[in-house]
Amino acid sequence: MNDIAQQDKLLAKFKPFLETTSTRWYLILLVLILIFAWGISGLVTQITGGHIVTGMRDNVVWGVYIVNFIFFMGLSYAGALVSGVLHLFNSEWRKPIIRMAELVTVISLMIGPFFIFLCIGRLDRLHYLFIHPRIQSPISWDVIGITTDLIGCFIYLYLSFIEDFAILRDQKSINLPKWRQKVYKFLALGYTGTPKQKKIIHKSRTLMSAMIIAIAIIVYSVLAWIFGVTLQPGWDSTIFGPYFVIAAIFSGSGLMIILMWIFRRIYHLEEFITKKHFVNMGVLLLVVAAFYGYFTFCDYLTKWYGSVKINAELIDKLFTEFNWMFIFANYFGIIIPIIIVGIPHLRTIRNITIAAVIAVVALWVNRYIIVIPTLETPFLPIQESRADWLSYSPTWVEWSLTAGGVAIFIILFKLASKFLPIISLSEMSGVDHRELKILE
Amino acid sequence: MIIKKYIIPLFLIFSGSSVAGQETPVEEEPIEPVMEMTYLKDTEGNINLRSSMVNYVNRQPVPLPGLEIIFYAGEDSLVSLGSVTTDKEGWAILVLDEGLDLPVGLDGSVRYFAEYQGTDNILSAEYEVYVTDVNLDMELTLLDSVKIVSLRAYSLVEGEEVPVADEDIYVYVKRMFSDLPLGEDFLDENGEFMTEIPDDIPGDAQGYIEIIGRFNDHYLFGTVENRQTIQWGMPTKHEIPVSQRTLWTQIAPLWMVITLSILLAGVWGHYIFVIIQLFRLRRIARKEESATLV
Repeated sequence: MNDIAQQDKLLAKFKPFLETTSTRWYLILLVLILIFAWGISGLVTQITGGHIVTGMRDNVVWGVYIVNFIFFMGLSYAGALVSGVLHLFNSEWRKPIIRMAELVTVISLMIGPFFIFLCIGRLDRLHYLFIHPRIQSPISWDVIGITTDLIGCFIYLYLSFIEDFAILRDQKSINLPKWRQKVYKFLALGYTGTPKQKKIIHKSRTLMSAMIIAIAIIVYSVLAWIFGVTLQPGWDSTIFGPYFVIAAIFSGSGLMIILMWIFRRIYHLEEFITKKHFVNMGVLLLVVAAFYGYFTFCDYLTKWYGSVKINAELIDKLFTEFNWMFIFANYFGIIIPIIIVGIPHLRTIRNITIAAVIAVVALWVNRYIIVIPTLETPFLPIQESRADWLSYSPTWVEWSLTAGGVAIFIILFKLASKFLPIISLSEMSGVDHRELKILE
Repeated sequence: MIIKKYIIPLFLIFSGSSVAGQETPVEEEPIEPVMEMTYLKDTEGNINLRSSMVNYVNRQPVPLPGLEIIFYAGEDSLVSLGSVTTDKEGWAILVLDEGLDLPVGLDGSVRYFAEYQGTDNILSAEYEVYVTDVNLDMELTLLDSVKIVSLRAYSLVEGEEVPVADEDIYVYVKRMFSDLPLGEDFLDENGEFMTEIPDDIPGDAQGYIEIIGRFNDHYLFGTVENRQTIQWGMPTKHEIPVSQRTLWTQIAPLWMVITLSILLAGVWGHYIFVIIQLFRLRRIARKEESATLV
């Protein structure tokens, strides 16, 4: 099938979704807005009542918020890595799914940092981070890193959208409101697909994809070092940087599979997102799961074998109080995806999606058991304080804001997919690297 | 058949175990406290009577706070010295001023007696010690750069000083956790003992050390001590090195500043390059548009 025909076919496929909005779409949006509003009510409660309304106390100063922060940032970096690598290596099968990876990157990166703001007791002093930055502080590295990454990802996303904006600007088959046509025209930057323009876009995208891969690895390592450079039991580890990067790719590939399954069903994209895509992403999930399992084992084995008193206390806590979470996150969460994808007979779209769901949830739980048990295991015994100060349990405020974060992630994804086709039109009909080489 | 073979025996086992598992109300037995008392005569000549009250649970002493301990002196006719309530560590400490007239026994010793009268929950307890009053003088002198501690022990018999001979005496220097022994010997016939203090004892920032002469839990005299602070130690300086790794260092390490600068310059340089390309894209489009119009 030639490029234009492929493009027209895709446009015809997305026409109903781009042109009109169904009642079902609005209903789902309403439910998501209600969940988000619940999160806002939690936020108002926290702002008016202070951090006492959360489960965080002097001892356990980080809770579900930081878990969500790491989780969303991980999804973002994974999206960047997946989209960057797929683009750089020019994999043919990447075309229908690369847009999703790009959107995961940017949307997660927009949501993640908000959770860190929720942890901060004195938000009024937040600007001190910029007025009095301390280069030697990992927190400063993180602020610089996340800002740089966010801007880089926006540029990368925009680069990949320009050709689609131009297609949507020029097409005649879909009736779009005038304001949208104007927006597409403005954002397309006058792109008409001349060889010179194609070359500029291709060069910039290649450059940015290489950049965002490097930044994703560095910034997520920096995030890991916020934990790794402390002397806290369970955190003070030399492998935390690569361990976090691997874990991020693990959760990101899982989320990609889930999104592929959802959009395939909603937009009936069976023709474009095939079993091959699920299997390929599943194999990526399997390989990363194996690495992730290996890193997890190495980390806990050395801590356990060292028999340092505080590490022994932490491991004891993990195998008693956090027993089920530990087993789910580090046994089921790794082994089940490996089994499902590893056995060819089990490799169905549904099974791979189930494996992905398990992987994503397990990774969230893994983040929880990295943060909370460590903070509940202080070096010095704390005397004369209430038991609930030592043991953390999230309150409804924290759950509402977590649910709100997930809701806004889905809302932004919905809105983005309403504004642009979830499958890149230009990728599906575009020229490949070989063609560009000839143009040069 | 099945009922006979399995269910009835099982029922009997479970009912038996549940009956066995039922707790019969046990009357709580009163606590049997263990009391001890020590005697300490300090530098000022004050007598400290220290009584402890504990309850042994699984062979571990558990302090009994809030109990009133009454102290007495004397054999037949008791002289009340006062009462003190035990603190959270189970200690009750009574300090008697110097020169208090206490009933002395025929052998010259004084019987100190502590008593807890008991309640319904805690049984009564008592403890006694016999102590012969003794005085300990300490003199610190510097003879030809040699630091000498001289101790002299005597008791007063009808106003006359009688030397305490052939008794074990110790000299210590106070340290942070426990006292460091520097000398130990028997007193001579004049009740005297001399020892040297080494030059290399670390003191405080000015070189002050606290020297202690002591009868250490003596069978006749209890604990009698004399403490004096003197500038005989080596001054210690606590220089805390500022680690470059710490977050509170004034300036970030140079390698970190250079690395971060290179990284940021590299990344942002690429961003700027790509943004310029985007402007170029628009310029090309405008040029082509105007060329088409012409």
